[in-house]
Amino acid sequence: MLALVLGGAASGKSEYAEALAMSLDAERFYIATMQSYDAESERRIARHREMRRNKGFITVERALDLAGVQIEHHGGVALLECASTLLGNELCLPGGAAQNSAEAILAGVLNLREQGLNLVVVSNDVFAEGLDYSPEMTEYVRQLGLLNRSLAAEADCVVEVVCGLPLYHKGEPRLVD
Amino acid sequence: MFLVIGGSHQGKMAWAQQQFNLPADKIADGELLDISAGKMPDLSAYQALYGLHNLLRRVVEADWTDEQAEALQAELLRLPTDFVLICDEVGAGLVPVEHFGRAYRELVGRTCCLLAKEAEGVWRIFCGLPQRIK
Repeated sequence: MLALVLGGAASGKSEYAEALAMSLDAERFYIATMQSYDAESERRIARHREMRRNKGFITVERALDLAGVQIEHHGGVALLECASTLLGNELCLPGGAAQNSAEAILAGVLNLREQGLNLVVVSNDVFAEGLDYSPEMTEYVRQLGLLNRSLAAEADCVVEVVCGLPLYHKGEPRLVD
Repeated sequence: MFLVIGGSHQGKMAWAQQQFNLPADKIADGELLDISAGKMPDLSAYQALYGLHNLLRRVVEADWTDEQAEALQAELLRLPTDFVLICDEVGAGLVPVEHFGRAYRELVGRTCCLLAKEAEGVWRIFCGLPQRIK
């Protein structure tokens, strides 16, 4: 089972995704993607850690190469937070997949599904700002659009979160097969 | 309280005025309300607040503390049950390079999550068309 949870900044998508992962009575894994580089990112990471404290998540830190993650836990659930940060890492960090980032992340997600895991993948909606970007930022937006569409095509359910409220675009968010 | 959200220029105000029968002089403007005291302005003369995102942008511009911003959120949650809040969605873009832009959309997004949780009804307006999402 693959669920894609989308939303803008501060839309409540993480809270929703965690609740969805929690609804499954199974071993829970949290794939954290954000690297700490300043006080603000520290604060953001701390906020998310606080949110999932005592919820029984085993944290797997992974900034690059999602396809290399081996969890192998049939029937477990993994929350990937989030595909858009992972994409930024793959595009910007040394050793990243650069122009093949979207494909690499999709392959990583499908690989986790192959390992028997239920998946909740969080990603961002960044497509309605209406600004002109630099070529690098345009490439990020292009790849994120491609990644979100590829994930949505594979997903059993696609949920957009608006002000903490879910809007269902595909399927129903049932994690148990 | 009722919450009406959506992108800019989607017809939120026109729809809300009709839906809730709001006279123009009963709608406060988030761009114009006096916030110089560092706290939520008195809205008792109004039935609606238009441009909540602008009010919150001014809060960030004026460098309010987290405590001041939280007090404002608490005041918004205490508005009468038939009060209408109208707010732009501002989070569907790339992470802004400047701290100000990040703080602004964070405050708007988190405030809307809090309001939506307690609201009697939430509508999202798209191309002038309402979708009731709560």
